[in-house]
Amino acid sequence: MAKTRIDPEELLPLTPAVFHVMLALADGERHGYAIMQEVAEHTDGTIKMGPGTLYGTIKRLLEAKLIEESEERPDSNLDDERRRYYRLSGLGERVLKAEARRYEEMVKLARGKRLIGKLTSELYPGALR
Amino acid sequence: MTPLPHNKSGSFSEGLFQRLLSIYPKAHRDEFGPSMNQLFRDQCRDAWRTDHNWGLIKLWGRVLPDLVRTSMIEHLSAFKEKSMNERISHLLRSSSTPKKAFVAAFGGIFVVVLAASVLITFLLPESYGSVARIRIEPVKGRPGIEPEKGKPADPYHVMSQIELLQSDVILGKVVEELNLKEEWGLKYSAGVPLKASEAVVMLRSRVGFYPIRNTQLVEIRSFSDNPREAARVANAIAETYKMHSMQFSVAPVFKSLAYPADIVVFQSNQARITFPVEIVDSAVPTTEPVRPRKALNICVGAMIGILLGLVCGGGIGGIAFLLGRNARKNPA
Repeated sequence: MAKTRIDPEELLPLTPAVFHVMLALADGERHGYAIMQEVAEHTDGTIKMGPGTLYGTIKRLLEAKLIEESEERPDSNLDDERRRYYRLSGLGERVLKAEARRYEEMVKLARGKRLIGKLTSELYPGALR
Repeated sequence: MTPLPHNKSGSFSEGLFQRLLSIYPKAHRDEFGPSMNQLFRDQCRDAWRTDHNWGLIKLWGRVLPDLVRTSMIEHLSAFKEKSMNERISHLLRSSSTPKKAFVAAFGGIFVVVLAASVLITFLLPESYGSVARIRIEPVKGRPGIEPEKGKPADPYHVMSQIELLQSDVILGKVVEELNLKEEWGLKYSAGVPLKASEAVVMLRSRVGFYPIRNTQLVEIRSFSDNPREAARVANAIAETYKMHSMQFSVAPVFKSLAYPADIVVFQSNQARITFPVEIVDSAVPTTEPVRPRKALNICVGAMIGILLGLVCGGGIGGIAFLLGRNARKNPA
Protein backbone atom coordinates (compact mmCIF):
# COMPACT_ATOMS: atom_id res chain seq x y z
CA MET A 1 0.00 0.00 0.00
CA ALA A 2 1.40 3.36 -1.02
CA LYS A 3 2.13 5.74 1.85
CA THR A 4 0.33 9.07 1.65
CA ARG A 5 2.86 11.85 1.94
CA ILE A 6 1.77 14.49 4.46
CA ASP A 7 2.19 18.08 3.36
CA PRO A 8 4.16 19.86 6.14
CA GLU A 9 2.18 23.04 5.48
CA GLU A 10 -0.92 21.28 6.76
CA LEU A 11 0.59 21.00 10.22
CA LEU A 12 1.42 24.69 10.48
CA PRO A 13 1.46 26.89 12.45
CA LEU A 14 3.16 25.11 15.33
CA THR A 15 2.55 26.19 18.89
CA PRO A 16 5.53 27.93 20.54
CA ALA A 17 6.17 24.93 22.83
CA VAL A 18 6.20 22.50 19.89
CA PHE A 19 8.42 24.76 17.82
CA HIS A 20 10.95 25.19 20.61
CA VAL A 21 11.10 21.44 21.35
CA MET A 22 11.57 20.64 17.65
CA LEU A 23 14.17 23.37 17.33
CA ALA A 24 16.06 21.86 20.28
CA LEU A 25 16.08 18.51 18.46
CA ALA A 26 17.30 20.06 15.19
CA ASP A 27 20.94 19.51 16.20
CA GLY A 28 20.50 15.87 17.10
CA GLU A 29 18.86 13.58 19.58
CA ARG A 30 18.35 14.70 23.15
CA HIS A 31 16.64 13.58 26.31
CA GLY A 32 13.92 15.56 28.10
CA TYR A 33 16.20 17.46 30.47
CA ALA A 34 18.56 18.44 27.64
CA ILE A 35 15.61 19.66 25.56
CA MET A 36 14.39 21.76 28.48
CA GLN A 37 17.87 23.26 28.97
CA GLU A 38 18.24 23.97 25.26
CA VAL A 39 14.88 25.75 25.15
CA ALA A 40 15.76 27.84 28.21
CA GLU A 41 19.11 28.72 26.61
CA HIS A 42 17.54 29.65 23.22
CA THR A 43 15.04 31.93 24.88
CA ASP A 44 17.42 33.48 27.44
CA GLY A 45 15.49 31.77 30.21
CA THR A 46 12.15 33.32 29.31
CA ILE A 47 10.65 29.92 28.53
CA LYS A 48 11.21 27.39 31.29
CA MET A 49 9.23 24.30 30.49
CA GLY A 50 7.80 22.27 33.31
CA PRO A 51 7.74 18.46 33.19
CA GLY A 52 4.02 18.49 32.34
CA THR A 53 4.35 20.83 29.36
CA LEU A 54 7.50 19.16 28.06
CA TYR A 55 6.22 15.59 28.14
CA GLY A 56 2.75 16.64 26.96
CA THR A 57 4.41 18.25 23.95
CA ILE A 58 6.64 15.21 23.39
CA LYS A 59 3.58 12.94 23.54
CA ARG A 60 1.78 14.96 20.88
CA LEU A 61 4.89 15.13 18.68
CA LEU A 62 5.29 11.35 18.93
CA GLU A 63 1.62 10.85 18.04
CA ALA A 64 1.97 13.17 15.04
CA LYS A 65 5.17 11.29 14.08
CA LEU A 66 7.15 14.53 14.04
CA ILE A 67 9.69 13.06 16.45
CA GLU A 68 10.66 9.51 17.30
CA GLU A 69 12.27 7.83 20.21
CA SER A 70 15.83 6.80 19.65
CA GLU A 71 16.53 3.11 20.15
CA GLU A 72 20.17 3.71 20.96
CA ARG A 73 21.07 4.22 24.57
CA PRO A 74 24.21 6.10 25.61
CA ASP A 75 27.02 4.49 27.50
CA SER A 76 25.80 4.07 31.09
CA ASN A 77 29.10 5.59 32.30
CA LEU A 78 28.33 8.80 30.49
CA ASP A 79 24.65 9.16 31.22
CA ASP A 80 21.72 7.57 33.00
CA GLU A 81 20.65 4.71 30.76
CA ARG A 82 17.02 5.10 31.89
CA ARG A 83 16.82 8.38 30.04
CA ARG A 84 14.78 8.35 26.85
CA TYR A 85 16.23 10.12 23.84
CA TYR A 86 14.19 11.73 21.09
CA ARG A 87 15.09 12.89 17.58
CA LEU A 88 13.31 14.59 14.69
CA SER A 89 11.68 12.29 12.15
CA GLY A 90 11.87 12.98 8.40
CA LEU A 91 8.42 14.55 8.54
CA GLY A 92 9.45 16.51 11.63
CA GLU A 93 12.43 18.00 9.80
CA ARG A 94 10.27 19.08 6.88
CA VAL A 95 7.66 20.61 9.18
CA LEU A 96 10.33 22.44 11.17
CA LYS A 97 11.87 23.85 7.99
CA ALA A 98 8.45 24.91 6.73
CA GLU A 99 7.72 26.64 10.03
CA ALA A 100 11.13 28.36 10.00
CA ARG A 101 10.42 29.62 6.45
CA ARG A 102 7.04 30.88 7.61
CA TYR A 103 8.74 32.80 10.43
CA GLU A 104 11.28 34.15 7.91
CA GLU A 105 8.47 35.47 5.73
CA MET A 106 6.87 37.09 8.72
CA VAL A 107 10.14 38.71 9.76
CA LYS A 108 10.60 40.05 6.20
CA LEU A 109 7.12 41.46 6.33
CA ALA A 110 7.77 43.10 9.69
CA ARG A 111 11.03 44.61 8.33
CA GLY A 112 9.20 45.91 5.27
CA LYS A 113 6.83 47.68 7.58
CA ARG A 114 9.80 49.01 9.60
CA LEU A 115 8.62 47.25 12.75
CA ILE A 116 12.12 45.79 13.25
CA GLY A 117 15.55 46.84 11.97
CA LYS A 118 17.28 45.46 8.86
CA LEU A 119 20.06 42.90 9.04
CA THR A 120 23.63 44.09 8.50
CA SER A 121 23.89 41.83 5.44
CA GLU A 122 20.85 43.52 3.93
CA LEU A 123 22.20 47.00 4.62
CA TYR A 124 25.71 46.18 3.30
CA PRO A 125 25.39 43.22 0.88
CA GLY A 126 29.15 42.84 0.38
CA ALA A 127 30.16 43.19 4.00
CA LEU A 128 30.01 39.50 4.94
CA ARG A 129 31.58 38.07 1.77
CA MET B 1 25.06 13.43 36.45
CA THR B 2 25.45 15.05 39.84
CA PRO B 3 22.97 13.58 42.28
CA LEU B 4 20.73 15.88 44.23
CA PRO B 5 22.46 16.71 47.51
CA HIS B 6 20.84 14.70 50.23
CA ASN B 7 18.53 17.12 51.99
CA LYS B 8 15.04 17.01 53.42
CA SER B 9 13.60 19.66 51.10
CA GLY B 10 14.84 17.87 48.00
CA SER B 11 13.56 14.46 49.12
CA PHE B 12 10.24 15.97 50.16
CA SER B 13 9.88 17.75 46.80
CA GLU B 14 10.64 14.57 44.86
CA GLY B 15 8.21 12.53 46.94
CA LEU B 16 5.49 15.12 46.60
CA PHE B 17 5.98 15.41 42.85
CA GLN B 18 5.80 11.62 42.51
CA ARG B 19 2.49 11.61 44.38
CA LEU B 20 1.15 14.53 42.38
CA LEU B 21 1.72 12.62 39.16
CA SER B 22 -1.36 10.58 40.10
CA ILE B 23 -3.53 13.46 38.83
CA TYR B 24 -2.56 12.50 35.26
CA PRO B 25 -4.46 9.82 33.34
CA LYS B 26 -3.03 6.35 33.96
CA ALA B 27 -1.88 5.83 30.38
CA HIS B 28 0.07 9.11 30.38
CA ARG B 29 1.52 8.31 33.80
CA ASP B 30 2.65 4.86 32.70
CA GLU B 31 4.25 6.23 29.54
CA PHE B 32 5.92 9.40 30.82
CA GLY B 33 5.75 9.24 34.63
CA PRO B 34 9.33 7.97 35.16
CA SER B 35 10.74 10.51 32.66
CA MET B 36 8.81 13.34 34.32
CA ASN B 37 10.11 12.24 37.71
CA GLN B 38 13.63 12.21 36.40
CA LEU B 39 13.27 15.63 34.79
CA PHE B 40 11.88 17.05 38.03
CA ARG B 41 14.79 15.53 39.95
CA ASP B 42 17.19 17.28 37.57
CA GLN B 43 15.30 20.54 37.99
CA CYS B 44 15.42 20.17 41.78
CA ARG B 45 19.17 19.64 41.60
CA ASP B 46 19.62 22.83 39.53
CA ALA B 47 17.30 24.82 41.77
CA TRP B 48 19.14 23.64 44.90
CA ARG B 49 22.49 24.53 43.39
CA THR B 50 21.33 28.04 42.55
CA ASP B 51 19.29 29.13 45.54
CA HIS B 52 18.87 26.17 47.94
CA ASN B 53 15.42 26.19 49.55
CA TRP B 54 14.39 29.43 47.85
CA GLY B 55 15.30 27.85 44.52
CA LEU B 56 13.05 24.88 45.29
CA ILE B 57 10.19 27.19 46.25
CA LYS B 58 10.57 29.08 42.95
CA LEU B 59 10.64 25.77 41.09
CA TRP B 60 7.39 24.66 42.74
CA GLY B 61 5.87 28.01 41.84
CA ARG B 62 6.46 27.12 38.18
CA VAL B 63 5.84 23.38 38.32
CA LEU B 64 2.57 23.31 40.27
CA PRO B 65 0.46 25.41 37.83
CA ASP B 66 2.09 23.47 34.99
CA LEU B 67 1.02 20.16 36.55
CA VAL B 68 -2.57 21.28 37.09
CA ARG B 69 -2.92 22.74 33.59
CA THR B 70 -1.30 19.89 31.70
CA SER B 71 -3.10 17.18 33.71
CA MET B 72 -6.41 18.75 32.66
CA ILE B 73 -5.24 18.81 29.04
CA GLU B 74 -4.23 15.14 29.23
CA HIS B 75 -7.54 14.13 30.80
CA LEU B 76 -9.42 16.00 28.08
CA SER B 77 -7.27 14.41 25.42
CA ALA B 78 -7.79 10.91 26.91
CA PHE B 79 -11.53 11.57 27.05
CA LYS B 80 -11.61 12.59 23.38
CA GLU B 81 -9.66 9.52 22.32
CA LYS B 82 -12.30 7.03 23.52
CA SER B 83 -15.53 6.66 21.57
CA MET B 84 -18.75 7.42 23.38
CA ASN B 85 -19.80 3.76 23.33
CA GLU B 86 -16.49 2.65 24.81
CA ARG B 87 -16.79 5.20 27.57
CA ILE B 88 -20.37 4.21 28.45
CA SER B 89 -19.66 0.51 28.40
CA HIS B 90 -16.51 0.94 30.51
CA LEU B 91 -18.41 3.06 32.99
CA LEU B 92 -21.30 0.62 33.27
CA ARG B 93 -19.14 -2.42 33.81
CA SER B 94 -17.32 -0.87 36.73
CA SER B 95 -18.82 -2.00 40.04
CA SER B 96 -18.03 1.35 41.66
CA THR B 97 -20.04 3.32 39.08
CA PRO B 98 -23.39 3.36 41.00
CA LYS B 99 -21.66 4.68 44.11
CA LYS B 100 -19.71 7.24 42.09
CA ALA B 101 -22.88 8.26 40.23
CA PHE B 102 -24.71 8.72 43.54
CA VAL B 103 -21.88 10.77 45.05
CA ALA B 104 -21.48 12.89 41.90
CA ALA B 105 -25.22 13.54 41.53
CA PHE B 106 -25.73 14.18 45.23
CA GLY B 107 -22.68 16.44 45.48
CA GLY B 108 -23.47 18.29 42.26
CA ILE B 109 -27.09 18.95 43.13
CA PHE B 110 -26.32 19.89 46.72
CA VAL B 111 -23.62 22.36 45.65
CA VAL B 112 -25.79 23.88 42.89
CA VAL B 113 -28.84 24.33 45.15
CA LEU B 114 -26.76 25.69 48.02
CA ALA B 115 -24.90 28.07 45.70
CA ALA B 116 -28.20 29.24 44.21
CA SER B 117 -29.68 29.89 47.65
CA VAL B 118 -26.58 31.82 48.74
CA LEU B 119 -26.61 33.82 45.52
CA ILE B 120 -30.32 34.62 45.73
CA THR B 121 -30.02 35.52 49.43
CA PHE B 122 -27.26 38.00 48.76
CA LEU B 123 -28.86 39.41 45.60
CA LEU B 124 -32.26 40.03 47.19
CA PRO B 125 -32.77 43.65 48.21
CA GLU B 126 -32.69 44.19 51.94
CA SER B 127 -35.92 45.17 53.64
CA TYR B 128 -36.19 46.89 57.01
CA GLY B 129 -39.18 46.56 59.28
CA SER B 130 -40.57 48.93 61.89
CA VAL B 131 -43.36 48.37 64.38
CA ALA B 132 -45.70 50.84 66.08
CA ARG B 133 -48.21 49.63 68.68
CA ILE B 134 -51.58 51.16 69.36
CA ARG B 135 -54.24 50.39 71.93
CA ILE B 136 -57.83 50.42 70.79
CA GLU B 137 -60.44 50.96 73.54
CA PRO B 138 -63.34 48.56 73.40
CA VAL B 139 -66.55 50.42 72.58
CA LYS B 140 -69.52 50.22 74.88
CA GLY B 141 -72.54 52.34 74.15
CA ARG B 142 -71.96 55.80 72.66
CA PRO B 143 -68.57 56.21 70.98
CA GLY B 144 -66.23 58.68 72.64
CA ILE B 145 -68.08 58.81 75.87
CA GLU B 146 -67.01 56.84 78.85
CA PRO B 147 -68.31 53.27 78.45
CA GLU B 148 -71.59 52.73 80.10
CA LYS B 149 -71.46 50.25 82.85
CA GLY B 150 -73.25 46.98 82.28
CA LYS B 151 -73.14 47.14 78.45
CA PRO B 152 -71.00 44.42 76.81
CA ALA B 153 -68.02 45.39 74.62
CA ASP B 154 -68.27 44.89 70.86
CA PRO B 155 -66.30 41.64 70.26
CA TYR B 156 -65.58 42.54 66.61
CA HIS B 157 -64.45 46.08 67.36
CA VAL B 158 -60.69 45.43 66.98
CA MET B 159 -61.17 43.53 63.72
CA SER B 160 -63.37 46.32 62.38
CA GLN B 161 -60.73 48.87 63.34
CA ILE B 162 -58.02 46.84 61.54
CA GLU B 163 -60.13 46.90 58.39
CA LEU B 164 -60.46 50.66 58.85
CA LEU B 165 -56.70 50.93 59.32
CA GLN B 166 -56.02 49.40 55.90
CA SER B 167 -58.80 51.27 54.18
CA ASP B 168 -58.29 54.08 51.68
CA VAL B 169 -59.56 56.50 54.33
CA ILE B 170 -56.51 56.03 56.53
CA LEU B 171 -53.88 54.98 53.98
CA GLY B 172 -54.98 57.71 51.54
CA LYS B 173 -54.38 60.33 54.23
CA VAL B 174 -50.96 58.80 55.02
CA VAL B 175 -50.02 58.93 51.32
CA GLU B 176 -50.96 62.63 51.21
CA GLU B 177 -49.31 63.46 54.50
CA LEU B 178 -45.98 61.80 53.66
CA ASN B 179 -46.08 62.93 50.02
CA LEU B 180 -45.60 59.32 48.95
CA LYS B 181 -46.97 59.90 45.43
CA GLU B 182 -43.98 62.07 44.53
CA GLU B 183 -41.48 60.25 46.71
CA TRP B 184 -42.27 56.79 45.36
CA GLY B 185 -42.75 58.19 41.86
CA LEU B 186 -39.16 59.39 41.95
CA LYS B 187 -37.97 56.08 43.35
CA TYR B 188 -39.98 53.53 41.41
CA SER B 189 -41.58 55.23 38.43
CA ALA B 190 -38.70 57.08 36.77
CA GLY B 191 -39.67 60.37 38.37
CA VAL B 192 -43.32 60.31 37.28
CA PRO B 193 -45.55 60.88 40.33
CA LEU B 194 -47.82 57.96 41.17
CA LYS B 195 -51.58 58.23 41.21
CA ALA B 196 -53.09 58.35 44.70
CA SER B 197 -54.71 54.95 44.18
CA GLU B 198 -51.39 53.43 43.02
CA ALA B 199 -49.56 54.86 46.02
CA VAL B 200 -52.24 53.48 48.35
CA VAL B 201 -51.99 50.01 46.79
CA MET B 202 -48.22 50.12 47.13
CA LEU B 203 -48.47 51.29 50.72
CA ARG B 204 -50.98 48.57 51.55
CA SER B 205 -48.58 45.92 50.23
CA ARG B 206 -45.87 47.24 52.55
CA VAL B 207 -47.78 47.31 55.81
CA GLY B 208 -49.46 44.73 58.04
CA PHE B 209 -51.78 45.00 61.04
CA TYR B 210 -51.68 42.32 63.67
CA PRO B 211 -53.84 42.19 66.83
CA ILE B 212 -51.98 40.88 69.88
CA ARG B 213 -54.05 38.12 71.43
CA ASN B 214 -55.90 38.76 74.69
CA THR B 215 -55.01 42.45 74.64
CA GLN B 216 -56.40 45.60 73.07
CA LEU B 217 -53.11 46.17 71.29
CA VAL B 218 -52.55 46.16 67.54
CA GLU B 219 -49.15 46.11 65.86
CA ILE B 220 -48.64 48.24 62.77
CA ARG B 221 -45.73 46.76 60.84
CA SER B 222 -44.18 48.63 57.96
CA PHE B 223 -41.49 47.40 55.54
CA SER B 224 -39.19 49.39 53.30
CA ASP B 225 -35.71 49.31 51.80
CA ASN B 226 -35.07 52.39 53.94
CA PRO B 227 -35.29 51.91 57.73
CA ARG B 228 -36.26 55.56 58.30
CA GLU B 229 -39.06 55.35 55.78
CA ALA B 230 -40.38 52.15 57.39
CA ALA B 231 -40.55 53.86 60.81
CA ARG B 232 -42.03 57.06 59.33
CA VAL B 233 -44.83 55.17 57.59
CA ALA B 234 -45.72 53.08 60.68
CA ASN B 235 -45.84 56.19 62.87
CA ALA B 236 -47.85 58.13 60.27
CA ILE B 237 -50.47 55.37 60.11
CA ALA B 238 -50.74 55.28 63.91
CA GLU B 239 -51.07 59.09 64.12
CA THR B 240 -53.55 59.34 61.26
CA TYR B 241 -55.71 56.59 62.70
CA LYS B 242 -55.60 58.19 66.15
CA MET B 243 -56.65 61.60 64.72
CA HIS B 244 -59.37 59.97 62.67
CA SER B 245 -60.74 58.13 65.72
CA MET B 246 -60.61 61.27 67.86
CA GLN B 247 -62.45 63.23 65.21
CA PHE B 248 -65.26 60.69 65.10
CA SER B 249 -65.38 60.32 68.87
CA VAL B 250 -65.36 63.97 69.89
CA ALA B 251 -67.39 65.44 67.01
CA PRO B 252 -70.76 64.06 68.22
CA VAL B 253 -70.12 65.55 71.65
CA PHE B 254 -69.48 68.99 70.19
CA LYS B 255 -72.49 68.72 67.92
CA SER B 256 -74.70 68.10 70.93
CA LEU B 257 -73.48 71.28 72.64
CA ALA B 258 -75.46 74.49 72.31
CA TYR B 259 -73.31 77.63 72.65
CA PRO B 260 -72.70 79.11 75.23
CA ALA B 261 -74.63 77.63 78.08
CA ASP B 262 -73.79 74.02 77.30
CA ILE B 263 -70.04 74.78 77.31
CA VAL B 264 -70.12 74.87 81.05
CA VAL B 265 -71.81 71.47 81.03
CA PHE B 266 -69.24 70.14 78.50
CA GLN B 267 -66.35 71.36 80.61
CA SER B 268 -67.75 69.59 83.59
CA ASN B 269 -68.14 66.44 81.47
CA GLN B 270 -64.59 66.59 80.00
CA ALA B 271 -63.32 64.10 82.48
CA ARG B 272 -65.79 61.58 81.12
CA ILE B 273 -64.62 61.84 77.46
CA THR B 274 -62.28 58.96 76.56
CA PHE B 275 -59.99 58.86 73.53
CA PRO B 276 -60.50 55.48 71.85
CA VAL B 277 -56.94 55.11 70.44
CA GLU B 278 -53.64 55.45 72.21
CA ILE B 279 -50.17 55.09 70.64
CA VAL B 280 -48.36 52.74 73.00
CA ASP B 281 -45.05 52.42 71.12
CA SER B 282 -43.77 54.61 68.31
CA ALA B 283 -41.82 52.95 65.51
CA VAL B 284 -38.08 53.55 65.43
CA PRO B 285 -35.69 52.86 62.51
CA THR B 286 -33.89 49.54 62.87
CA THR B 287 -30.34 48.81 61.83
CA GLU B 288 -30.79 45.12 60.98
CA PRO B 289 -32.82 44.19 57.90
CA VAL B 290 -35.72 41.80 58.49
CA ARG B 291 -35.51 40.36 54.98
CA PRO B 292 -33.82 38.42 53.53
CA ARG B 293 -33.19 36.17 56.51
CA LYS B 294 -29.74 35.11 55.40
CA ALA B 295 -29.01 32.25 57.81
CA LEU B 296 -32.51 30.84 57.43
CA ASN B 297 -32.44 31.05 53.62
CA ILE B 298 -29.05 29.33 53.43
CA CYS B 299 -30.14 26.60 55.88
CA VAL B 300 -33.32 26.03 53.88
CA GLY B 301 -31.22 25.94 50.67
CA ALA B 302 -28.89 23.36 52.24
CA MET B 303 -31.83 21.22 53.39
CA ILE B 304 -33.46 21.35 49.95
CA GLY B 305 -30.08 20.54 48.38
CA ILE B 306 -29.67 17.49 50.63
CA LEU B 307 -33.19 16.26 49.91
CA LEU B 308 -32.97 16.82 46.15
CA GLY B 309 -29.45 15.35 46.11
CA LEU B 310 -30.63 12.22 47.93
CA VAL B 311 -33.60 11.76 45.62
CA CYS B 312 -31.76 12.44 42.35
CA GLY B 313 -28.52 10.75 43.47
CA GLY B 314 -30.48 7.70 44.60
CA GLY B 315 -32.33 7.59 41.31
CA ILE B 316 -29.22 7.98 39.17
CA GLY B 317 -27.22 5.53 41.30
CA GLY B 318 -30.08 3.01 41.06
CA ILE B 319 -30.30 3.34 37.28
CA ALA B 320 -26.51 2.96 37.00
CA PHE B 321 -26.67 -0.16 39.19
CA LEU B 322 -29.41 -1.77 37.05
CA LEU B 323 -27.69 -0.90 33.76
CA GLY B 324 -24.35 -2.16 35.10
CA ARG B 325 -25.90 -5.46 36.18
CA ASN B 326 -27.35 -5.93 32.69
CA ALA B 327 -24.06 -4.97 31.04
CA ARG B 328 -22.12 -7.47 33.17
CA LYS B 329 -24.66 -10.21 32.40
CA ASN B 330 -24.48 -9.52 28.64
CA PRO B 331 -20.91 -8.42 27.95
CA ALA B 332 -21.55 -8.35 24.18
